[in-house]
Amino acid sequence: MSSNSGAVKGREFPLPRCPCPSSNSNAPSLDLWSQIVAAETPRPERIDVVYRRRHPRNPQNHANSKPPDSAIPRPPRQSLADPNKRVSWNRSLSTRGRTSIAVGAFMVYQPQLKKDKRKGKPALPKGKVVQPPNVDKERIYFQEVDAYELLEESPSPKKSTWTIGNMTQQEPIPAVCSRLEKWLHSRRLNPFCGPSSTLSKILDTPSTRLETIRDIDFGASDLKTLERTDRSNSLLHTIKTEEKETSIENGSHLQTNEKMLFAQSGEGCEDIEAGVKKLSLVSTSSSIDDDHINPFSVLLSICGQSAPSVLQDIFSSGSETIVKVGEGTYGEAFKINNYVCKIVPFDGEFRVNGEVQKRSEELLEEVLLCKTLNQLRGKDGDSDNLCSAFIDCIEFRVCQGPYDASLIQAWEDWDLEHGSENDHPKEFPDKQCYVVFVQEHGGKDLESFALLNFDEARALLVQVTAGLAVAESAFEFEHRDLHWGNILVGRSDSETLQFTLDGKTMLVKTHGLIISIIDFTLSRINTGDSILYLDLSSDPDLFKGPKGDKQSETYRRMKEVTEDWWEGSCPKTNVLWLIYLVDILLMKKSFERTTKHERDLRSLKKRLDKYDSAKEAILDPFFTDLFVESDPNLTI
Amino acid sequence: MMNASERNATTKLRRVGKKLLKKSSVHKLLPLLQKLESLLSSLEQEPTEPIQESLVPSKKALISDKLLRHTDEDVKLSVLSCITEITRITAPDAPYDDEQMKEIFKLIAASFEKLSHISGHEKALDILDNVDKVKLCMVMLDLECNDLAIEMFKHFLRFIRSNHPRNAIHSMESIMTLILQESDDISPDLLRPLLDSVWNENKALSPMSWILGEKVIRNCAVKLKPYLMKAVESSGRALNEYADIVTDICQNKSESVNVIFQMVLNF
Repeated sequence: MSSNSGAVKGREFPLPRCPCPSSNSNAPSLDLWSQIVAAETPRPERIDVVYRRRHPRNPQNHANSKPPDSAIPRPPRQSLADPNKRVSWNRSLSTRGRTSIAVGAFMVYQPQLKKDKRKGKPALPKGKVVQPPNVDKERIYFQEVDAYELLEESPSPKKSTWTIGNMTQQEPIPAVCSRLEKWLHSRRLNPFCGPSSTLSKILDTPSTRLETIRDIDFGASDLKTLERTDRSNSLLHTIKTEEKETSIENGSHLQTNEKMLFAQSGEGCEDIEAGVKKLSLVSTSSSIDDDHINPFSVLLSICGQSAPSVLQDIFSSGSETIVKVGEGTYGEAFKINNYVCKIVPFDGEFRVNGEVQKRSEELLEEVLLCKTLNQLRGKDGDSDNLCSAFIDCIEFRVCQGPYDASLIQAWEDWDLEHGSENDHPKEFPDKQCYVVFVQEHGGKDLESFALLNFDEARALLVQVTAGLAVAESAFEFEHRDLHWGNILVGRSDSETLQFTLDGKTMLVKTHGLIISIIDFTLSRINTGDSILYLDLSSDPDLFKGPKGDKQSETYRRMKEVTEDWWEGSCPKTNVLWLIYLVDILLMKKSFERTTKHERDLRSLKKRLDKYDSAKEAILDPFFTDLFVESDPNLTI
Repeated sequence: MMNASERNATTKLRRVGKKLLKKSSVHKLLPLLQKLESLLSSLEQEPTEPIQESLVPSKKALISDKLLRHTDEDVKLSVLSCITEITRITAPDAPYDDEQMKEIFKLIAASFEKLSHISGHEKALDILDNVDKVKLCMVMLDLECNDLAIEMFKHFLRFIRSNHPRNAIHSMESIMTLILQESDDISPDLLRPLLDSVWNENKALSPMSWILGEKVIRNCAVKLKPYLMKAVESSGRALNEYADIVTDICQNKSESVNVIFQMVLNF
């Protein structure tokens, strides 16, 4: 804008003359410039982007239209270039006056912009800061590699070759080992899983050590073998150092052939781990073996399958009635008898329901998490921590192939009645992959469930709190996203529900209400072998929800208490969601209650704020009379 | 990978957009539009590609004849409010093509007539706020919608009242100032409502209008100088029948310069 340009020029030229005491009019001038500078102090803008003119403005030519007085401003403008001329000083005064008009206009304009931008949002730093812990880990990793080199006693040329070889093979290690660890964990979860892949056969088939010894050959290729052995030894050493293992391996056992692995498989679980880790060395050179440890194969194994099923195998078996009961971005949910089958497409390249499809790795973690929480149901024998508060995942199936016709029919029936917002499933290609989660039917979500009275509200709270406490104790579990859409509620004839916490059994009154906790996308869990968590520091938008919104405030408070370090255990996050839940009951759920009941809830909320875990919260006096004291095992 | 918050926003946007295309009755449309506006107002500018894609159903629905030309006034205002929110999100690029934008500007200018209503002008205030803060009138000037600028001036200067929120008054002032400062040429028709507002007789009739007009003229004094005397002469009134600021700008006497200088000092 030309006026802005004039303003800038006006500010520049008179400043050098401010110190001159030659004129009385300097004083007000100095004050004016001070005000201008103060007014123009930069302040953060809340609207970053505004519209601009698209076409360059036409040059204005109004010389002819100007009145005769227009001749007057010209000499003062020229005199600005030459400040030494005394005669021009008087004229420059009027020039400053005119320039100040533009400046004044700008001053008036500026505050309005700030006031008018109340709806805007502050600009946040973009990009991600490198995580210091990762840098530290990398340094430690390479220090270990360097330290190991010092032990090498080979001639210099060989050392150089070894170093290069070592470097080229370092990168695949973390990813491969991470996947293998998941696979090993899944094996423990499925001890009776039948042989479903060549990998299992290799590891499970017994063999004698004698054969292994006989296969070692140090003939004409001695030097190459030794060189390769050195590289393998170094890699294996690095791996073990990372995992703080103390076992020592004989170099001769590092021959990369299947028969040697046979000898290992007959021993305990730890030896299986060692065998798999040795196999990871093979995977760097064998594409066949690599197939067995890609995420899709691991997902198949954890589901107890050797190959994908077809959706028809599950859904076209006879007389069951299939009804669609819900949908989400993840996919569709169908009810068959009393089970809910959640069908999640994955690994495809195109968007489904507007979003990128999940990868095998993501679903693998989700399945592992569900299976881990399922252990709390006591199916695997006795345990010190038991509860049924987490949705029962009965079965998982990996499927590939066309969507079943009966499913499409159910989908279209639902669409006619509700108007689906998802893509029509017939659009899936024939090769599309799905994971089917077969779950119990847990009821309606709390948002749409109608609570009848205060007793039901209390039953809801005690079951959620006790469930979180049990899972905390068993697996350092934190849900981290326990909004009212992730709590399913149903009615039941059972009068009591059993929880076992740290070996102590307690019965709680249900008042006819049973809850199920679902959706572990954001959850953290320590399975004993690994910590599964979602790094929410890479999702800054999660913390930008509306101010005052209970759910958004809970995300922000989680960020505070975890100090944005999401790998660590911080059971306080479970308490934050309990506080959220009390707020929801007070403000968004209507049920029969008295003012005393509301006071009790508000008092509970205040006390909750002092607890650091659900295990502490379950001891709150609010829950005391919900426990059936007649049970002889109760020691609380 | 899409983060959780984006997934949530995109899902809701797509759902609301699809529903808008299906519903037609007022009592179903208004809650939907309210929900959409709430979703849109929570979005940042310069959105990611997934969010841009999820905006497509809503953008199409809002520009369709069914919604844009809906017979119910409240629905039309809600539609416009959502559209101006979308212009905030997509800045500095207009979300629709030139012909569509012209149509939208007509409706925006007409919506400012609602500012005269004692109640029910909240949506018009929202529209005013969005138009101001992203300088949407720049697009209007590019499209040479000069008659709409005149209409806006008339509505602002005729309907401004003391019970409007102060930020709304600031929005009117900054919109008019922007239009004058950024116009290639200023037509006499555009100056007429401004001069009418600072006519001395109007000071008693409509003091808020007088104050607003005076502020805008002072903001654009340098820009207006080549045009103002001609506009005064064609108005049929004498120069001294207008506010002093008009006389000062037109006469450009040494005495006037001192007066202007004094005014600047008073800031």
